[in-house]
Amino acid sequence: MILSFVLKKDNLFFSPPDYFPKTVYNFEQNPLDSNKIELGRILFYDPILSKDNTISCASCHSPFNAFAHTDHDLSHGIFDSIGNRNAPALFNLAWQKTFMWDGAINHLDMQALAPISHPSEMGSNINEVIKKLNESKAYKKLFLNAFQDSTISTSKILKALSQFQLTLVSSNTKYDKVKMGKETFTEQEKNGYQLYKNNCASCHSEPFFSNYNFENNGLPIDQTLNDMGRYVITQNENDKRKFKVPSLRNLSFTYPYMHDGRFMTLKEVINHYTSGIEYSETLSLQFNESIELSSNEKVDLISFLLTLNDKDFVFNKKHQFKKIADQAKE
Amino acid sequence: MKQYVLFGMLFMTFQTHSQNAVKITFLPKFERENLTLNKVYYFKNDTLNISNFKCYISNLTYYKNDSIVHSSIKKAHLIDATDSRSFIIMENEFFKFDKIRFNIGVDSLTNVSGIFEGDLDPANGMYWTWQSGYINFKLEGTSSLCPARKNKFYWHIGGYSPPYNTLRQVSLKTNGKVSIQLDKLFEEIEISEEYQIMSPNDNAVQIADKFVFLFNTTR
Ligand code: HEC
Ligand code: HEC
Repeated sequence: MILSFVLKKDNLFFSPPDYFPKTVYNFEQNPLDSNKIELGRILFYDPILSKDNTISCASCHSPFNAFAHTDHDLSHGIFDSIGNRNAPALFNLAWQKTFMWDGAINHLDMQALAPISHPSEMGSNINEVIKKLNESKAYKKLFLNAFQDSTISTSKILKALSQFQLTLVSSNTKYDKVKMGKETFTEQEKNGYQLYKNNCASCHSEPFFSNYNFENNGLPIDQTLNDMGRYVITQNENDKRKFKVPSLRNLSFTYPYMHDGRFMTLKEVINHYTSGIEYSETLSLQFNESIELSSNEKVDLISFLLTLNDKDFVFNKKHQFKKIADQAKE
Repeated sequence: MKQYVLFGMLFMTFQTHSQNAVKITFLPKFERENLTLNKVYYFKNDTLNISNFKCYISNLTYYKNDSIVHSSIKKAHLIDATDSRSFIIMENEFFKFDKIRFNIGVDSLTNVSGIFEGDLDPANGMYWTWQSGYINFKLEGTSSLCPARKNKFYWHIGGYSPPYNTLRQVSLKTNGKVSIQLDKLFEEIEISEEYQIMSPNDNAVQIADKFVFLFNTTR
């Protein structure tokens, strides 16, 4: 009786389709709760998390870009400093084993510490954030509602931020509807799907369109950044130039592409795979044989990729900006 | 007779819950003295001071005649040179022991299990924010032999996965008083070469290998 109630309640916030596997995130350690999710949402949009109160998480992760950032190839932080990587889209995080392009972060709960503390992102630190939040009556009330305790702590802040981000599930694309038997692919999309299966699926695997592993997809090194990816974390030669495989969902909203945002269009991306792959010691084996696609096939492949756009997700009001004051008045 | 028994029982309860509850004291030292932060030490051909010392003690287990008599309920304990209360681990229980075993640092399971409170709160400054993982042992200060700006050295020793695992285990015969002999590190490490270690790597592992020599029973 109680169990079924709990399950039902969870489903309100988190109801992935049944072809999504078991989550990596352990919800038992941080059970979803509407007040915690709302608190996380407010924190996500509040520049109070940055040193000079100018940058929020959403400054780099905009809901209308599937929580990626499209103005700049490299994300901008406080005092207009430029980070060295492109802000990735945020969705289906509950299934990810590691976070960041190089997998530097091993748990979603710990992720927010990175941007909060990064000098060229939010430039603050968690103690400063706790102090500022403690000075706000409205926040004290929100923490009390969410945790039955108004003491603001690292773990409460991080758990609330995780809760909001865990509700960012993208599972309502045309592809998903086809999968559920509600819609069908056009001939062109069908062709594209086959081309995807032949050339891309080993890394960008269904249903997330990523296996979330680290691979080297043959991008020539940008000499100004000299970013070695996974190697930075493991110091293992075999990891040089490997980056976490990004999802192919919502590509129309998440340009520019790749860890450094070097490509503006999908056409450029496809051309990279057919004619731009640079050989190096760690190049993923899939590229030992070059990928050959006619110009018609390229169009077909792109038309399939466009079935992975999730407008319901991108325009979901529940994920959008919520101000602290709106909540306090309620 | 009955009264005696009752008195005896009362006495025992009193004892176990207060004076006799087991406690272990970890005392940071520099040569013969207790460590004083920011004090100038003349050590061999070096002039140095220590401005910050913190380290984790975890999975503390007590032995008597080589069998386990108690495992500390506290998963990980943070020793912080700025707070002498942090030098003591209390067990709220009485038992006899002749040996302890513990880890210096935080184990890998804890490192991958998300956020914790108390001693493991990242707000304590013992967590890397840009790359997940606890700093197991942190020592900062200045040394005349250190070529860095303002002679500052930073030893932030952490890393929980091979090949850069810096967790180290110590077994000690002890009655409860343990000293952390920090001067020994300066004997073992070439500070003119290894003065800035702030991520899991070979140098961090080399320093971690010296940890066991620092922990001794105080006589
Ligand atoms: C200045 C821009 C900026 C701000 C502000 C920012 N991020 Fe990010 N975010 C990035 C960049 C860039 C990356 C990728 C970093 C890397 O790979 O090293 C990233 C990565 C992430 C990831 C990992 C996604 C994945 O798929 O691996 C999450 C989750 C995330 N950010 C959440 C947040 C949260 C929560 C906040 C607010 C506390 C925040 N970000 C603030 C730029 C930003
Ligand atoms: C061997 C694994 C692998 C294969 C096969 C592969 N990719 Fe990728 N893909 C990656 C990796 C890794 C990245 C990120 C690289 C980086 O940023 O350094 C990536 C990035 C992308 C991006 C950019 C996404 C974003 O959000 O930035 C797109 C689009 C993409 N791939 C499409 C494809 C298509 C289409 C195919 C098939 C023709 C394909 N990939 C085949 C590994 C692969």
